[in-house]
Amino acid sequence: MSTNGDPGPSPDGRISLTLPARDFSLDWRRYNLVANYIAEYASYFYEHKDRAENVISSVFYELLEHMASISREDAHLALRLAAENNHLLFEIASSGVDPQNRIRHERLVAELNADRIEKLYRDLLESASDAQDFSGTFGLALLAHDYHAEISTQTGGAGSVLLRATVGQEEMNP
Amino acid sequence: MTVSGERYVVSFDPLDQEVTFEGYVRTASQQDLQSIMDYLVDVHGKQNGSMCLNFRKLRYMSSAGLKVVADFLRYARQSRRLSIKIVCSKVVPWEAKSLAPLSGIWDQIDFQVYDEHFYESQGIIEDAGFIPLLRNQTRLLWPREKPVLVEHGLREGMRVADICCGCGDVALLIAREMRISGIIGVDHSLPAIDHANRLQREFEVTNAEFRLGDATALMMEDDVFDFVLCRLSIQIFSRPELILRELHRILRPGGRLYLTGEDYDLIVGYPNEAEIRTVYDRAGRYGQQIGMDLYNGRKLYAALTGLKMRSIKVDTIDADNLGQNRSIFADVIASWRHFSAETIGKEISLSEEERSSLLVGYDAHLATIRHPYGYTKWSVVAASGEKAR
Repeated sequence: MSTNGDPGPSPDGRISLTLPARDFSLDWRRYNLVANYIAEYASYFYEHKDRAENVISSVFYELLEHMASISREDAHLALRLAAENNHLLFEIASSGVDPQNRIRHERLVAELNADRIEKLYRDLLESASDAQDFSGTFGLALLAHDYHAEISTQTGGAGSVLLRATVGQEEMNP
Repeated sequence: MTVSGERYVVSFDPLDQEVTFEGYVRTASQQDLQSIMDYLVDVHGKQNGSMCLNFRKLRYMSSAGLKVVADFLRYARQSRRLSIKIVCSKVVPWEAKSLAPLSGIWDQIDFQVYDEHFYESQGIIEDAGFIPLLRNQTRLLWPREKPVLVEHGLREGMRVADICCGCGDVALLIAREMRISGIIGVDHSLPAIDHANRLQREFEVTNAEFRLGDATALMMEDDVFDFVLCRLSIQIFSRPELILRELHRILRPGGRLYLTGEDYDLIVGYPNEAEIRTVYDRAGRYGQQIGMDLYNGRKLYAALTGLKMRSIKVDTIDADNLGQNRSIFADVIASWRHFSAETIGKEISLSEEERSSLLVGYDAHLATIRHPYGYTKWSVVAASGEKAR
């Protein structure tokens, strides 16, 4: 509802949020809390609210866990969700990722293209949990494989990294 | 025997050799993940034959949790002692997406979507063609059921759940007319939930919400609702106890569980008394053949007693053909006629003679409804009980 010139809620469930990366290393339960918060907020835009909430929360959880784990403690994470045409756009921008993590992150995202995802996912299922050499590898592969997410990344100056996942709205359909 | 974390419980039922996951397995604690793995390996080591992993009540699982399950499945593959069954629900989006690929780990892993075929008449009941029948029934019953609901304890300000809400008509009427705090309707039929959502938007009902869900594994917290309804639905399930257990679980102590059920012996009319009796006897028998109990109204008191509920009340909701009800009643019986003779008739392959005989019986009932001196009555049993505090 709009009052006193307030523009009111966005018509497409758009939401953005900025949080310190440190908060997540202090208490990992915040991954769940933030993913569910964004998902519930955005889900009111969708006819099948419960399904939308489950998909949005599942996707954001994995993205957030990955981005928090590669970010420096003093970094900030800017989270954004928007609905565009027939897809959902999930973005997390970190203001501070060390060069080594940034290189490994870029390499991981490059591996997640559609041609190779089936084999990559199968290989990851066959490898032991503790054999993963980079945090978030399985989570991002899961999004690309199970949710057909298109995952891309951009890096900027001063260690900033943007991770973007595009998920078709049909992923929320029963 | 269980292992649990802040928001999840993993437990074992030896009767079915089944491990059930409930809640959220979203943990970054390696200790938690290792505990789940150790638990699965421990259970695995104590069984013979097969082992089931049931995820129907798991709302979320992170990739780290899923990886532990994959680790366990590889362990099971290596040990070759048990075959593994993975059971998920189609109403929880992540489950079918992320659990199905696990079956590729080993050919002895069987992946099942539990609620794709979980009651015999599912294909009929969850079809969009069933909605007009539900709506006609509500038109006839609602004016009589509303005071019964009040009599059974439905009050202003309550938090209400309507489980197996069908196309949402009754939930929306309760939301609009009874000043409740809010109502959540759950049904397993996608066309019905789509219909309910459409009406909710159109009528701008803000205190109602509809979800696709499995009544035998509700994604709802324990002890939440003041009043839980399940109307004319338990009769279609071959294992009603699974639903009753869930209805009782989500009800708060002191809240009331309200059930209604059919009893085809309570449908009477005159003239054409004998034809009316015969057609409902037959329809009741044919219903049994697709797993429906159209006489379950008389069993509701026993069901509530079995749940150890207190202050149990039983009433009948009586709809007749007098006054303005004549045409609505006729619409209901016309819907039943079609449903019974055509839809169920096809399902159980009735002979042409049996089908014709049913149609003749329903036509006799319709003639009674329309007869200037005809009288007919359809009674539904309503029963409710209070959950012990």
